Amino acid sequence: MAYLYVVESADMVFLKNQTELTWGNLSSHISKLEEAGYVNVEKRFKGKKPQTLLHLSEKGRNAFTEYRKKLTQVLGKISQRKI
Amino acid sequence: MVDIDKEVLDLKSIEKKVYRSFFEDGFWDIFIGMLLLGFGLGWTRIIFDIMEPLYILIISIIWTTITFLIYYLGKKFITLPRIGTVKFGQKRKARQKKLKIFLLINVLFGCIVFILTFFGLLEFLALAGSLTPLLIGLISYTFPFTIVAYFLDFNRLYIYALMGGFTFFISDIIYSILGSPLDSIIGFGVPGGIIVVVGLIFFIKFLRKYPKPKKD
Repeated sequence: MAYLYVVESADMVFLKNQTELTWGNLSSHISKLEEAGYVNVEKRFKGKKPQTLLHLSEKGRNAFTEYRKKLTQVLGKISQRKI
Repeated sequence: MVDIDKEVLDLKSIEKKVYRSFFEDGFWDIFIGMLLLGFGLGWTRIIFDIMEPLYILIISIIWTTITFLIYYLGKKFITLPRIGTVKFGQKRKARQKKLKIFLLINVLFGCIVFILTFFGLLEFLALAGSLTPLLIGLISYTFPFTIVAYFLDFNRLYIYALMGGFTFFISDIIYSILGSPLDSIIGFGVPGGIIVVVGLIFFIKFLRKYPKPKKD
């Protein structure tokens, strides 16, 4: 999600390289994100080769922003307790 | 107040890491190195019987075309199939747009300087000793490539810009000691060659790190 959040769109090859996941693992992650409506998957041909292009949906972008906010709050509380 | 970008999932560094992965292939280094080598090819005129200005023009066009072809074809057929396709956000696009405008202005400026030099209108600017080649190097090479490095966010290019800028000056000093053609061969060949070798090392590492994918 973080990788798709910082770019406009990316294909599966790019995501696999960046995340260092296996094809199967990456596919299953993407399928779940697509089912949740967080990721839009576009299948097309680049020349004669198939290409799967992915980008975060508006819903996905908002969900990720919300997740980061909550995580920040949690981490903030933990660090305050430590002090 | 908590800075979310820095505190949780540093998105700026993720984006930077993703963007900079495109410089891992070494093609930019090879491109810059070859351009520098091209400056020192004038001496090859001794092999052919063509008048100097025409020869330098022909060899420059051929060499620059080869350099651009290596960069373009390498990126298209070697880098992209291995690294994948990505479209960056608005900030990167805006930087690239600014870079294109700068390059356009730079080319126009270069053309004007070339025409003025051709008609001998800039002779009054000639400085004593090796200051003229130093100035030429800094203005025509270091300055534009430093700007390009900034817009591209490509740190190695700052070093190359400095190296390239000083080659004109060094070449002039070598000329006064060893004469021609060693001034071009050493002055431009050594730094250009070093940059190409650095590029090739990056390229080999890139091929190992990113094998051709079997499936998308």
